[in-house]
Amino acid sequence: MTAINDFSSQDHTSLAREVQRRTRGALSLEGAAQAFTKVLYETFPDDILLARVFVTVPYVKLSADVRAAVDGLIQKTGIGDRMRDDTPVLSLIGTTGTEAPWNDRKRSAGHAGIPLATSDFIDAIPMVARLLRELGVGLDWIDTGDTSIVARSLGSSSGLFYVQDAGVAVDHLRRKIIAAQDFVKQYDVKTVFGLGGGYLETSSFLASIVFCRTEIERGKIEPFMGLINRIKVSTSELVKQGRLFTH
Amino acid sequence: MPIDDLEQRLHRIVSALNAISAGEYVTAHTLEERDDLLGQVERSVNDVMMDLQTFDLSNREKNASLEAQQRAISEKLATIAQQGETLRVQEAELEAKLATIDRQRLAIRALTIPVLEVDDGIIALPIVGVVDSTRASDLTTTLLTYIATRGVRCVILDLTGVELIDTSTADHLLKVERAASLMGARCVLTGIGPDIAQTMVALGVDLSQLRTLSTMKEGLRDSRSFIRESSPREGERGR
Repeated sequence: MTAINDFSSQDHTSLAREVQRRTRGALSLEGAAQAFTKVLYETFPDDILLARVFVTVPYVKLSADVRAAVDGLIQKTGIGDRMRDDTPVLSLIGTTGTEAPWNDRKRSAGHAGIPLATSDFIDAIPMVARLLRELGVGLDWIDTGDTSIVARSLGSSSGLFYVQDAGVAVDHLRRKIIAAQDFVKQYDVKTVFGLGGGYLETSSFLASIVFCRTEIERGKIEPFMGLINRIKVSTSELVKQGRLFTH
Repeated sequence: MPIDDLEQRLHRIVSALNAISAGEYVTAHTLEERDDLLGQVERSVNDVMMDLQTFDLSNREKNASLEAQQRAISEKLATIAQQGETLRVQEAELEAKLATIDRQRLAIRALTIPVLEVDDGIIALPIVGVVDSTRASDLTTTLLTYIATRGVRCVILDLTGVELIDTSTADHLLKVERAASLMGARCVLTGIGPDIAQTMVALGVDLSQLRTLSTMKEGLRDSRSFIRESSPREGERGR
């Protein structure tokens, strides 16, 4: 069994190539994202509890199932008047984990999509707010609808979302960053990390969040940042062509 | 271990390596990786190709990011230039306003020193407000110009409208009187009320060198008398 804490730089190079090998030739971004989470999960079965990939998709281009889930969330939170056709929705596009429902994005209706409708709405979700901030996208652009921030964040895949201990880490408002503390306690979640980056010539942004059941130092996570570009190499044409979901 | 399709696969490897060396690694076809010794070579060639593709993407992203930053900087420079132009326009407007204020100030200064020709050879200067060094200088200039150009012989400096006379004001008035005397005119100070007189005594203001009278009317009478007495009598003329 491989442990993240024992992973060498040579191992990381092999993993990066494996990710690219397994994601290239996918018929949709969902296919590649699913392959990516599977590679991560299979490589570190002792560390990783759940690995997920999200991508920003304009509301009007969501697949029917994601749109239905997002509509439910919009109704529940009362942000309908702030939604536009081009409002980016951070949509779950790949998921692999220890529980069977975690291996099918369609069975994760509760996390199918998070509409980036207003900065206040996102700020109320500490993990997403921090993820966007630490990946260099921030929240300021959300209220203006200026998605060019994705272009400005290109090349800054050095951004890393990192929470060493999900059970104790709090944000500047003293809120738990990982708000789902029942999930954290039930599965003894420790380190949570996220990687992300924008796609060239598009306003799409890809982010991966990994929940671990072991505590991992930040320095051991940083080499994972390069994986995002490996997926992007494999999927940039798919994203440009709008081939996101596997129908 | 036998290697299947050796020649064909070697050709594909050579083509892939040629594509890589020509910098065409982005569009080059991935080699099929078989499970034999040559398969390991195919895998290594694919690894190199994938690494190069990733480096290429990183470079393109960095360039795009730099271009975006350059555009942002250009936009900021344009904004700064526009703000500079706006500031220049505002500065010009401000200068024009200051010039207007300066002209108005001069006009107001002229109005604060009215010169009344009350009789032949007699002028009265009703002074209002505070007499500071600037006003004293203006007063002296105006007065001397009148004396020189209009043949003035008597000057009535009326202080009825002066709020306060302190040692400094008294000094200024003495200088005015001295300058007028040098030009051959006689000065009379009028309009010193009881309040101002008391203040002057309390402050030790000394105007004893000046001829002082209580009202402008008395000042006018006194000046006429002076002119009459100092002028040659009718019968004496022509002798």
